[in-house]
Amino acid sequence: MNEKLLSLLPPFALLCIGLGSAWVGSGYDIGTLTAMGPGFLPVVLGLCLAFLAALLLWLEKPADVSPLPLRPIACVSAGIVAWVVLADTAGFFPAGLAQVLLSSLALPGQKWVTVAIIAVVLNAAAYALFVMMLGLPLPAFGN
Amino acid sequence: METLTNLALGFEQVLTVQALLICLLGVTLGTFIGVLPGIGALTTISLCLPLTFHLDPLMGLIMLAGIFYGSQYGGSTASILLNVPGTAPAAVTCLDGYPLTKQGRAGVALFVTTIGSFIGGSFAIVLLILFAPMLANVAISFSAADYFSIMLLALTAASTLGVGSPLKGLAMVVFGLALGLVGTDINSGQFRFTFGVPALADGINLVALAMGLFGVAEILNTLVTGALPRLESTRITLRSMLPTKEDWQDFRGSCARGSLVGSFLGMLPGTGPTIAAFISYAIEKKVSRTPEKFGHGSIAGVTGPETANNASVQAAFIPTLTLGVPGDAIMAVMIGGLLIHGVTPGPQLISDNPQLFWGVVASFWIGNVMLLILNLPLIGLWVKLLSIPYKVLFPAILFLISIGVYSVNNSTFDVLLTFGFGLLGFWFTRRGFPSAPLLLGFVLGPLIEENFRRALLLSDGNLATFVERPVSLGFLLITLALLVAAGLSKHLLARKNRAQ
Repeated sequence: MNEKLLSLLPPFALLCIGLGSAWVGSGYDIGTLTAMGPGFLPVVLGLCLAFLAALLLWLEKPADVSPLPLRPIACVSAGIVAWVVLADTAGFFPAGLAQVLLSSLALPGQKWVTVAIIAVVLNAAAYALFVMMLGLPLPAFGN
Repeated sequence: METLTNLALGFEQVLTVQALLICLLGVTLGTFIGVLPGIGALTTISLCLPLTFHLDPLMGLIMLAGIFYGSQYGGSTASILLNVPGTAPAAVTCLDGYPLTKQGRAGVALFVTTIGSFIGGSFAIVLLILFAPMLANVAISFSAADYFSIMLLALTAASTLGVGSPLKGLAMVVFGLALGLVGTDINSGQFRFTFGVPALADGINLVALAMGLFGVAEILNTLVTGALPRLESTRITLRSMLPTKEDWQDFRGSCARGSLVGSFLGMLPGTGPTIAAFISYAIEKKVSRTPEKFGHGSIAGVTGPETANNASVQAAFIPTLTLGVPGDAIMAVMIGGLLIHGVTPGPQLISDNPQLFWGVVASFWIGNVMLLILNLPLIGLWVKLLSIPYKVLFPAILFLISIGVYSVNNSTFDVLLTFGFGLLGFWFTRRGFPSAPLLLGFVLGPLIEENFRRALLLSDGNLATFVERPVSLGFLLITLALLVAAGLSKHLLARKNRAQ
């Protein structure tokens, strides 16, 4: 795929979302202007969005997209996904520690002793606030 | 006289130990995140929103509002000392604030911005006290068609008055409106766009959307661009803060103009503190007798915008609380929070819930006085904060985002949603598609749909109802003018570029 075409992805995505919304919306009851059904606005807004996106696709010139450094994006993503998976299966502390450690990898030159101390202190403080004080139903360890 | 009784009622609500502590917590947190680059008021307010569910609505609003105006005080600190804006509206303050630091006058810059912020904020609070009840009285006769047109104006202004392309802003607003449709249709009970996911039956979680678009996206952007702020050792003594006689002269005029500009723009739907700060800077430069000093350390260049953004933040509560129409994305989140608390902002709010309205107004006074104390004698403390390295900060923020989003519905699906919106916001912002209009569209979406449906139900399906009512027609004409102006300015710019 042409590199420059990548720069047009956002308006293209909006075009698809707009058309998709109109299509799904047309499956709901549209109703009349006096008594609108649940499908009326999804169709109207979807078409509006598709029109604006098409206009943008037409006006925008494809531009060079500088390649993004993947490391920060991958580490931040891994951290969030790890939290989601571990929170449901292994409990508050494994999830929180994993997220802080994984996302710290996004930048080079971390001092790992500092990172570990911060991870533990942060998790303990958050556990005290969210679970002990506010009653969030997440066990410290285990499911 | 009535105003005084009302204010007394308000102070009665907030002169309690709990309220004072909550207010102090809000403004301190606001200054804290305002000073730190990389975490903004919107992220913090969404992060604290679930915490306020455990408080009563007044306390919750006092805290969230405190974060908002507190961050305007703190935002200028990083702009002046590091040339990195702590918050978006403080970006303008870099232009003249950082040159002042280089000249060794950081203390004076910090002093005038704090005093200017206080005066601007106070001026707007007085306007709020005087005009909000009047506006509410007028707005009580507004019909569904009028509301629809006001909201349309707010959305158009928010998307076309921004810095980037108006067309991209409009597309994002419509995208936000469409996202607001997800969930159960109130009128028919039909599930829309839920795709069989039970977590979507109540709609997309506002906190997840806001945290993704602003919190996660902001962090990704900072990490990817690699522009990590670093502080050189600066010591601010009280003595170094004293302005000279000349500084005072610059200060007086720009502070007065900033208060007026900020309050005016704050009251308009769709224009937030960032626009107020930019316009104020342009005005200061135009009226100044020494325009050549701008960009090289002009006192008026920091005072004007800083006064204006604080005035606009306080004035923004006028349309938010009396019409229920938020001026910008942060106000939209605040309305979302009030709705979750079961409080509907609108013309009835002041009469139905005077304790809430006047209590919040009274807390503004208290909060601003606290901020004056926090930011003048204690400025050294905040400067030290700037030496916290970003590489320690961002994993902590990401962790707090996960747990904060989860705590709203105890749902890991919401955390994944946050992540998805984070990637989307990051990717779209890089291509010049702004996130703030999307969020505003999302919050106003259901309100717009409701008023649109009701207006047409009442008029028996006659679309002319929107132009037959003078109030609605007026707002529609302003909306149209904005669209035409946005189109024209783009056209003129293109011609100018071709001519060169």
